[in-house]
Amino acid sequence: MEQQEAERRLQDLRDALLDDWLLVTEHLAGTQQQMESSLSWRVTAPLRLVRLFQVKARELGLPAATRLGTAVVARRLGRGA
Amino acid sequence: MTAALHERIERRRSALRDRIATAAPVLGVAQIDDEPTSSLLQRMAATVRERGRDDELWLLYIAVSGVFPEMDELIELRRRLSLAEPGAELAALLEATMEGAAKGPESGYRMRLVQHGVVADVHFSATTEHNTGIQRVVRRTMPEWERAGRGVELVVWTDSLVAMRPLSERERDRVLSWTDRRFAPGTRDEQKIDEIIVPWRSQVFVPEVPIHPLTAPLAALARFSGNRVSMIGHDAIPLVSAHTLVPIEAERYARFLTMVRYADRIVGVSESAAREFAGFAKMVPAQGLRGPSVRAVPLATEVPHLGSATPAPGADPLVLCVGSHEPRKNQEAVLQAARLLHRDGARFRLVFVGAGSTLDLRRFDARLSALRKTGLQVSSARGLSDAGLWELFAEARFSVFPSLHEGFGLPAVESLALGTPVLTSDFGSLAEVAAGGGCVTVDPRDDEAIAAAMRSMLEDDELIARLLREIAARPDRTWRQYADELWEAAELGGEVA
Repeated sequence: MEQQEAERRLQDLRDALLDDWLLVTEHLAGTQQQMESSLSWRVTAPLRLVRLFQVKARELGLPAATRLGTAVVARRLGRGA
Repeated sequence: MTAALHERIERRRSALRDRIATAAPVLGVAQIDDEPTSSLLQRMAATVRERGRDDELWLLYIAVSGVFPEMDELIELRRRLSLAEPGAELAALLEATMEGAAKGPESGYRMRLVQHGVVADVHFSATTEHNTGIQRVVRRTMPEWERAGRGVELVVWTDSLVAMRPLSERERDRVLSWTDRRFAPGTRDEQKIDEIIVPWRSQVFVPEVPIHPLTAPLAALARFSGNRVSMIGHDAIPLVSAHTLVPIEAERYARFLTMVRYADRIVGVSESAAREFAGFAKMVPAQGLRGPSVRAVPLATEVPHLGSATPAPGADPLVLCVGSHEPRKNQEAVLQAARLLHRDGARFRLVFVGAGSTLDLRRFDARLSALRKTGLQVSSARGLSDAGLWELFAEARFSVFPSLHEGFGLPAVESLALGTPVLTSDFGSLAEVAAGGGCVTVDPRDDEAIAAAMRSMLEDDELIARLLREIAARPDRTWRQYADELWEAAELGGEVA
């Protein structure tokens, strides 16, 4: 009887562990997705690209950053899926 | 908890149950009717821990998270499991996979195992409209395997780039029907696929250079999954000729090599490309690894015969220079040679064809504009269709392609396939192409030598006639031949234990 009770409690603990894991992973994944689909994220996308370009221009020089930027834009525009 | 959140969590729970039910039999864990998911997971974690096999650990990680792990993530799972108290493996498993499962929506997707099959990762060719060298290889080879009934499972990566998935109809169209598309290019793909594909005891074939975020999960797959990984080795330009590229390309390539060192087989697109990968493979045993075996299967030389243009009567001979605008393609040396010839009174038209960054092209165009004022007939053509390019090849007296580094040298091969002699480099893959006839070779680092060879090809009709005879005698190597030889060289027909 005691062993059955212990097993039942262990199973409850495992279920609770899995429930928490599902809740947390859904929350973390959902937060990222919600942020990326929000209006503010999309509106600020060009600003973030410009900032990235500035950083790369400082790191690599203007011609290299331009080549890199062109490749990135071409790749994004090329995506149809 | 809101009803919407509850619904999303239940969807994840259901997908998790489905995935682990798929994985359990191959992990040797029998399922018990009505067993709670947490209990089944605990037994799977305990079994995998006890057996201590990396491939089973890799599969367990994916079954739980819906995400292909990177090497560090898998090692972390192994360590946590080894420290877990017997009976508490579930906690270690869930802790180690939580971050992975939160990377995207994939932990809400179902999973399909491809067992004892061939899985080809065609991500870039399937999801973009680019059609340069590597995509051409994929879009000519995969249809040949499809026609031959090889039974290859084509995969791309999910939007979060964390797991393999099947292709949508539009993506299949891009890979298998490029020359006869059912869907208009660029139309939006609305098909949602919430299934991941996991190769198990299979051959994983990687014909592209994977985009940067995919090298880490692919490296882990090659190292841990037990699948055999074969790749096409296109070139080692970002490593061997790093000075010709932006620094980030060299860094990314070095990370790509992490995957190569765990691969089983590399099939180079030329003897030269194979030598470069063989050189890397020789370095790997110093790290206690076996490294990949390397072979060469030269690409096909077959192109559609569309060109039929002839020069206008009285026009000066056309010299064509095809290649993207980047330092290793050596357009500057061609320009210098053209200036030397023009100074000495030679008459010819020089046309450059190739894309490049806006800034590079603007600078190049300004140089051409200045040279035109000196009387040099030089111009640039961009955005040409294949047919437009073939016409230029057909009209040209010869093409000039003195590249400093190529994996294969498609412009030279296309020129020859269209019956136009080539002036090209005397080493590497271009020397291999030239060895079949129809070419004049020079040291591409010697402007004077390029000028002298161009002069001969402009003035010596007997030389051109001989080169044309050599071209006519070159064997035509078809994409079907290439696809068949590639299949054999990559040993894709073999069983994986």
